[in-house]
Amino acid sequence: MVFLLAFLFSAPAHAFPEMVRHHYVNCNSCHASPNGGGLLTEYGRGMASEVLSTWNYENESLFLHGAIKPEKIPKAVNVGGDIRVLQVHREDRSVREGRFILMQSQVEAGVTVGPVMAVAAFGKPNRENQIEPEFTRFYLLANATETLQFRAGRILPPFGLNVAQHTVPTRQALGFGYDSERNTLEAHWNGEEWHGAFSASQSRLQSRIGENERAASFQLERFFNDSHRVGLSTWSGESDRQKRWLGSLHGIFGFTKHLYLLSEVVLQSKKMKTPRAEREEGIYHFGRFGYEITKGVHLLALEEFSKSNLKATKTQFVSFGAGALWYPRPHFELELTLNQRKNLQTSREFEDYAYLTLHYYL
Amino acid sequence: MKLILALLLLSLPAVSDAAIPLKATPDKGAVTFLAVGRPSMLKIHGKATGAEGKFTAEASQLKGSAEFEIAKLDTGINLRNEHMKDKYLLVKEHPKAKLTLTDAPLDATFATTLSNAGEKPFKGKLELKGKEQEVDGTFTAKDGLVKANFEIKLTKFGIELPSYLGITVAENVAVAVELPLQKE
Repeated sequence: MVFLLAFLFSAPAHAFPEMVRHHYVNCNSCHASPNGGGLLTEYGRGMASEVLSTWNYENESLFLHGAIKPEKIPKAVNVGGDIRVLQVHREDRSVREGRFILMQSQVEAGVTVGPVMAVAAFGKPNRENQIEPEFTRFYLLANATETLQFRAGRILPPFGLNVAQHTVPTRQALGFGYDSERNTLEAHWNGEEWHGAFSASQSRLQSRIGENERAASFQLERFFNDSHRVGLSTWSGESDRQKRWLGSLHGIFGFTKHLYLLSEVVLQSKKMKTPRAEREEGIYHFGRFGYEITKGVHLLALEEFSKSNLKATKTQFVSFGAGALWYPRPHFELELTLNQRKNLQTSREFEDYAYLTLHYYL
Repeated sequence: MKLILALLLLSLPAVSDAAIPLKATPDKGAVTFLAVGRPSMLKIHGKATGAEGKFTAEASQLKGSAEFEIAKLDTGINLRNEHMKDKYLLVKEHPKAKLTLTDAPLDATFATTLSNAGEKPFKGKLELKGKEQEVDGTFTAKDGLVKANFEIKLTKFGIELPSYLGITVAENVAVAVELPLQKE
């Protein structure tokens, strides 16, 4: 069960915040979404060839590898989509098991009319690796000015670091993992030195969150030397079951063109309403060092830690790992990580995990 | 004796006003620029090794000019470099940029220390893509290392605003020049 929980809820979004080392300080250079992830802009597709991938040929990064000539697609239309699969292997003294998971299988399209863009992603894998005909996210994005954007729809509100690895404690354990898109209204300010965002949202009972949380979030990020991005986020939410407050400090550091670090620490303070209980404080952290040894090939060092109740040792989770990430050509992404994880709720010993993720985007 | 001292003191300004020849070699120093791509505020950093120049420090002014090979500029992305050099700056026809100083004040002690106290304003003329325009900015000088910062408007030099896949470069580009000056 723990195995299932750990991986079924892993998934989507392919934001690359580490691109800040190439001075891409705001996500909307490459993504339609101001939070990053999802539908790529024309420029983002260009950079997939020029900056991200080991090899490429002309126009390879375009939709369907350029099979449809760009001039045949209306300028106002942007089409994409993702297939992401994961093979997980877990091993300890008593168990040795593997599992294949279809994490993402969707088409996504956007239409722009004047300053407004409508985007929707369709197709959602279920626990049996079958695709359900369901919209996973949809939104209207309005560019009020060059720097001010408003967005409304079913999306992930801005909070902390929006990384593709949704299993990390700062995402999944706090309700920002797979299938946690909420009905959200948000505003973004994307400046030369600052990024600010505010959101009001309500989660859905039908989602994996399983409760109706009404929340407000605020995020402020500062760019340093055009290669580092440091931010603070706050979250205040209340559902029928609990009331919680989150505070996050995160950083994306592009030390050189090759060496980078993504790190976040979140503090959660929550009080259960039913059943009534004492206030609980918890801490959640992840760190991901990367080194690009040659264009498109990255070595990774990973660490995660969480303690959902600072007063209860058994709520502690620790993970260390190493791996490699490869973008061989535009549209393709492969990641292999080997991890040692210890979850005191289930075992006092470390367990070995291996993850192989393959991601293909249209 | 007093007369001799007075004569010596009178002769000092003449010594400090004597032109001191200085040179900058391209293997040292640096030329960098920062352009901003809109609407996403993408930062484009261009950098290259330094400029070659001949200057004189005379009459409390730094005079002279430095030339810089534009082909050396690197923005970190090959395609962007190609576009910058071949499409916008036309490097083959105009391979060099030249900065000529018209007003760069020096402290009286510069002749001996090659240093200025604090930051000072300067004026000059920049020749880029075959067009010459006046520029002004600030500069510092410490132990012979001159650092100048100024801003250029691309369209003033007949440079079309670079645009690529929805990102357009803002008209104002910040330029920084580091010139390590040596006495000749």
